Amino acid sequence: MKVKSISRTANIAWSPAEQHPIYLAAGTAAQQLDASFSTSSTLELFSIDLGDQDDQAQLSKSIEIDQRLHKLVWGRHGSSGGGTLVGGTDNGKVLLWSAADLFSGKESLLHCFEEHQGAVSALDVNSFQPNLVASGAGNSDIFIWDLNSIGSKSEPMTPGTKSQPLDDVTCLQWNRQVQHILGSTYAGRSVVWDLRKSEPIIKITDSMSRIKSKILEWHPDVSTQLCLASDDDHSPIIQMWDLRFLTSPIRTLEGHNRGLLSLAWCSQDSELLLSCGKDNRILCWNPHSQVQNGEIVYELPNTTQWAFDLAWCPRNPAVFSSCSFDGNISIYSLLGKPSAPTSAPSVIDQSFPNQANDPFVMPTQPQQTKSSSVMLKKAPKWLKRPCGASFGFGGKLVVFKKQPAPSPQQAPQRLVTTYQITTETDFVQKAEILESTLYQGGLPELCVANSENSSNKNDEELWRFIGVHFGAEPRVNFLRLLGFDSTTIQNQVNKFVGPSNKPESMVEQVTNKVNQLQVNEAPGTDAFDQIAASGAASSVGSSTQSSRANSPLTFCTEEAKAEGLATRCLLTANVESAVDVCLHTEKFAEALLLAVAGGSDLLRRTQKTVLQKVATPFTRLLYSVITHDLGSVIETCDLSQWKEALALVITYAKPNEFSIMCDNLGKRLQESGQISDAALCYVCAGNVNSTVACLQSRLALNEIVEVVSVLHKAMLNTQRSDSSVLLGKALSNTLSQYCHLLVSEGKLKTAYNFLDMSNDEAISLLKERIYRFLSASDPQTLRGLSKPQTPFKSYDVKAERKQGAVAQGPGQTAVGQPKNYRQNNYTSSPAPSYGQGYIQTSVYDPNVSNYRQQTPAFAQPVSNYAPPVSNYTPVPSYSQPSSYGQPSSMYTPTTLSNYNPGVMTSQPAYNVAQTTVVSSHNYTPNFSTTLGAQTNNYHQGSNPIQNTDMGIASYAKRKIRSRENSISDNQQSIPPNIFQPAPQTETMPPPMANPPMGMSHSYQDNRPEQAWNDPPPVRQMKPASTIPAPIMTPMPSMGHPQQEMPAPGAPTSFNPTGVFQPTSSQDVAPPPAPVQQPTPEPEQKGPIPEQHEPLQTTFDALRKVCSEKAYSNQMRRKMDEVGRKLEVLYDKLRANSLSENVTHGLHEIINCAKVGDYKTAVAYHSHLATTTNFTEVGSFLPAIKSLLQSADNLGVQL
Amino acid sequence: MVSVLNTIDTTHEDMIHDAQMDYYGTKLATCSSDKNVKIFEVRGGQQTLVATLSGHDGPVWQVAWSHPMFGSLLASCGYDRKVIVWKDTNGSWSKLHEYSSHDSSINSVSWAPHELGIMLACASSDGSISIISTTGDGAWDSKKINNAHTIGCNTVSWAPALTPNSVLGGQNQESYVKRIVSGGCDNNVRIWRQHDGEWEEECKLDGHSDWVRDVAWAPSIGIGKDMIASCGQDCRVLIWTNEGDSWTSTTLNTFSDVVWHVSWSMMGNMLAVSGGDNKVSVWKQELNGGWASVSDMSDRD
Repeated sequence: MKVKSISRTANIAWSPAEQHPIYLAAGTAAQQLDASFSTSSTLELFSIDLGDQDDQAQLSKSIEIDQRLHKLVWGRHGSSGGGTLVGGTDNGKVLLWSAADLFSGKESLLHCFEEHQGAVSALDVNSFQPNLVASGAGNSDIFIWDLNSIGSKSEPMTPGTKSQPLDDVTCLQWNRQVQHILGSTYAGRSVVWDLRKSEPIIKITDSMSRIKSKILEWHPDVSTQLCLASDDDHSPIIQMWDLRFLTSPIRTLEGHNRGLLSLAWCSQDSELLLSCGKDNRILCWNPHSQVQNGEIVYELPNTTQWAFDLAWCPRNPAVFSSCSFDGNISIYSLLGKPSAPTSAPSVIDQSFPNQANDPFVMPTQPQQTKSSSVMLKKAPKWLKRPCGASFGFGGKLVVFKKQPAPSPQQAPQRLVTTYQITTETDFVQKAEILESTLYQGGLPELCVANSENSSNKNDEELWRFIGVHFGAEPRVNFLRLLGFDSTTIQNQVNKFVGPSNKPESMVEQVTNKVNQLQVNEAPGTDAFDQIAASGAASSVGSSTQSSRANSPLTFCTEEAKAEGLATRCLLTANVESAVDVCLHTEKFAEALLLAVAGGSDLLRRTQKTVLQKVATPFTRLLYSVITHDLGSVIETCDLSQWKEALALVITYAKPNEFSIMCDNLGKRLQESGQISDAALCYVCAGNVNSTVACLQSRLALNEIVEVVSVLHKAMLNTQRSDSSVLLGKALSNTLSQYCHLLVSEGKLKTAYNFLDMSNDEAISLLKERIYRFLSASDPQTLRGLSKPQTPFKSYDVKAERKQGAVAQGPGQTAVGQPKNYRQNNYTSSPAPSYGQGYIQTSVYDPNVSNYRQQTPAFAQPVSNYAPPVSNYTPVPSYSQPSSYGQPSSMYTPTTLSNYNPGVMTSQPAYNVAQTTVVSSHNYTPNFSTTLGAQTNNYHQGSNPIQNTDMGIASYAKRKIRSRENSISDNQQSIPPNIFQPAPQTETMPPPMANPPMGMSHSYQDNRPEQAWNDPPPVRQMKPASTIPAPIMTPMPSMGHPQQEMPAPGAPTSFNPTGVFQPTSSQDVAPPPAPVQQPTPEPEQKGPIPEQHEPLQTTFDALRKVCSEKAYSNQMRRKMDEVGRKLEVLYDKLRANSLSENVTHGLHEIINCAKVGDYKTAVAYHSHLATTTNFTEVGSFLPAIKSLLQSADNLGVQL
Repeated sequence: MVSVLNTIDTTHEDMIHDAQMDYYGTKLATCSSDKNVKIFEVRGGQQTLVATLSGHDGPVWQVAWSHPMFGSLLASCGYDRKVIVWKDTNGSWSKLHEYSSHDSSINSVSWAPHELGIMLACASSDGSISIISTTGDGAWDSKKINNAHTIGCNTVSWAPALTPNSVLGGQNQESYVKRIVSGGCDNNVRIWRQHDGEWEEECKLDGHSDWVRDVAWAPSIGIGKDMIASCGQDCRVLIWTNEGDSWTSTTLNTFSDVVWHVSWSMMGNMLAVSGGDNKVSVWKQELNGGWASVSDMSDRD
């Protein structure tokens, strides 16, 4: 793929690998003409931005230079960054520029060495010491310059004494592995210098190499190997040498037609060597390939001009440049989209428009056009991921790496290692403790421990509250935690009231007395009323008692006074009125006392009035308690006294309203920002979800889950309302996150145990996933757990019409999917095809018996498949279809979906179609008629049901297609080829008209179904054996049908060797098809007429015994030969083409042979030989004689 | 802490290029330059080779398991310009679909989040990205992003179907986003979004100075923001984050060799980094946002 071009005739150098972005330096090439005949020369820098889709490289800097260049290199020497450019000129100068200065537009010429004579056309920078530059020019001069000592006037180094005879140095290159080795070429010889020894260490002369090497290219990895090439048209080859074995090149790459101009060996993949030559071709070789004459892995398409220089981009391994004489520098990528042919008109062409015979422009070679769609054959090394680690479920890390080969002979093991990654040991440890506590008990202790260990008061309280759930009498304990311990309060009361008082007894007395006043007491009044009453009474009572003790009782009788009035009422048992009077005069205590006696109704009313009139906080509380109006307390209480409110709820709330009340209080607190207090309310309520909502911001993930799971467990224990037991969405997310973390630490079982708390979608997903993992890896742990439902709906992804199993596992026989069989029935599929399972078995089972075992299994899924089984006996022939699938492996699949029992019955129709096609293409009559005859026989013989409707339909379709579509015909002709040993994956044998591309293309057009029908003729083979007459003389012409015509459905099975040869084609889907049991030849023929059967039996028996007893290979071979001759005899017998004289004689012979009288038999034989027509018996009689003689010699007794 | 659970000799005859566990962690798929894909069943530390899938004509670069909702589907891609989708039906593997509409090596294949249906993206050296999908009825549809990365696309990865913001929100079909991130030989990381059925470039993340070898969009499960890891020829791993509407990058580390592969843990809290020097390391984000290596597996074998 061409990515950039620059219209210059120039020598180029890529920026060093360190440089980013990438630049290309171009210096006007010496001895080249520009379209303008300008003699100016420039040094230019182009920015190569591969992300930019413009195909013209962007010129970024340009300077005028004095001399045109023969060679330009770019090394990384220099402190300023950007490196140093080195150019060799026509007149012996070596120029140095600083790239950084060039970029910044400053004066960039650093220095000029002028020691050389002639053009400096060889230059190289040492890659280990970028300050060392080697240059070569005329007079065999090679100088090595140290850029660190520019201007010191010191003489340049030389690698040794000048190589004689004096010549131009054409190429220099430092070794790419050993820094002090320098390679050089002169006209006709190559010299390798060792700079430490200052002498040439190796010289390859043209008498050794027989090429006038002009170019030298070191192996990027192997220090002792290099390639040499010559621009001589007589030896357009590349030689690869190993300096340790100098007798001859280790490899020769032959592919160019004319001399070579440049070589470039990819430093990142030494299996890629680029070359260009005067034949306009740019080739990429795999120099390591063992292919004779070298393997070309890629040819650059559409090159019509000589390229004189090639260079890999040091930074981007797939990119290289070529400079051509047509004034273009092109930058290519080895990969990428194959570009459409774009032949930019050469600049020079434009200047000389009438150049009819431009020697540079060669007609585009046909293979070049072809290669435009072909990609680099071999995957480049830089695409090969050497090492990788991927996370899997459960914190597993799956890692593969490059493995060193244990020895050069052994292939390295290809290992995949699974690691368990644990990073949160603390987290995991806590989770495990929590898990075990949850399931093995110890939760109260855990709560205590947590509260003791907590760092702040909030957490301490929180855990205390949670802990209460596990104890007895949680309400009492909640009260105590809120600071309302009843004993403490009692003590305080005692202290307050004084130790001598006995309030309980007093209360009792008063109550009793008051009770005596009751007129009609309603039973079962509210307990709280009594409490309130006794509370109220006690304060009243104590004063009454003291007054009673001190003075005698007098009745107040003053009517005007309220007291008197009340007394009067009381005396008349008008309690209600007495109460009214008391209330009116604000004698609340009296009113209440009286009301107690007046019944619950009166009492309630009185209480209400009293409380309304006495509006202190205390009375409000009293009122709430008495009226059991806790809700309003919760709603209205001052939130700073939430503890009291909560205590009230804890003390008085009924069990069914307790949680709600706590919740409501919590909500108010939460809204007002008292989050921690709210949490405690929620804890009391046992509301897991809300508790956590309050804690979310305060606690770490694991602490939250700890609270959740403990509280959850508590709720389960007390069996409170269900709503609090299942976690809400937000909490489920938190839990899911926690469990995912556990899972990613490899603690799947622990995580699983936490997942019961929610049935959220994410949780169910995780649950099922863990279950499946554990059931595979550690089924023990799942004991007693039920299998979770699959939390998602499964889709069954249907296969396309063309499908098939290709996989072969150990012991796996890919049997088609029953579902598919049913779903894709015959009618939905235009062309019937064979059951895939069937093909699988027949292809891969080396022996028939094995096949038979498979068959029932296959028949199982589709019950109505069973009957046709017998028809399926022609096993071997089926091997073809799947092999046929090779060229494009998507082909094989055809079978999968389309299996249908109907296939068998409709098949004959295809055979007819096949025959029609054959004849319409004018094949040898012999061929087609035989085929036709056979086909028909097959119909009659073994297939009573001939044409189903579909059969006819598809027959018609088939026929039309076959005639109209020659492509399909060609395709059909392909299968036979496959069975020839095919050396290459994609290539078809040469006689094929269709290029491989065409083929795979047509496969994509759903052609397969059609082509799939090809095999029918093959299938006829076995059934034919059951048919009496038609003689199948071996048909040599059919052995290699593909050489004759692209015969549709050419029956490969006629050539059993062809069929059963395992092909070497690389893309054989399954292991190269195990050899089928070849159908024995006699089976293909009809039986011998009954009266002559003894002849066959006896001769065969004799031959068999002789073969067994044979003491030498020679004799065995003789018996084989006899066998073949006997076949001729049998054929003649079948055809009834022997005269009675002959058959009579033969029977005489066997009669003697049967009793072991071989002498007489031979005599009969001689008689027969002399009395019959030699043309009639000559083909087999000598064999019979050999047989008889052998039997005699070996003493065979039948 | 790193412990070896097991080691499998895959019996591949050439370099392995990818190894992936399935959704449940019970099956392992490997692929190699020997053109084969192999499936192993992992049961309690024991692995059994259950199938060898042959169908590629060249090195197979990557394999990817589908979500089990769609059955046991495995996609593989290779140098032969093909993506093959394989299906396991009760232990028998067959080819479900073959996609071969690229002009060069297909370097990466990745299934879309299951919420988006049966859909996969593949990246090719021809510079384009394909998104192929099926409703499951056997017909496959494909869309192509041409010239996604000039001179080659090396890698592609899907964004989670739910954006971090919508995780708690409604989950109707409309709220799913179809987004992919890709990396290539133009040194860029690019994000693409499907809009009105067409794929458009959403943004270009410019940070690497050489080929981008791999990109991986972090799962959204554990983190509240979009996060992408990218690595490449410039030996660096970059972490790209987006908490609003712009992407910022931090360098996780600069390594001593080309970084070939990055892989997020399921929670998106750890990143495994694989280098050309055969070194694998696992990194974890610290509270201050920096990244620390939690383990280096290079010295372990």
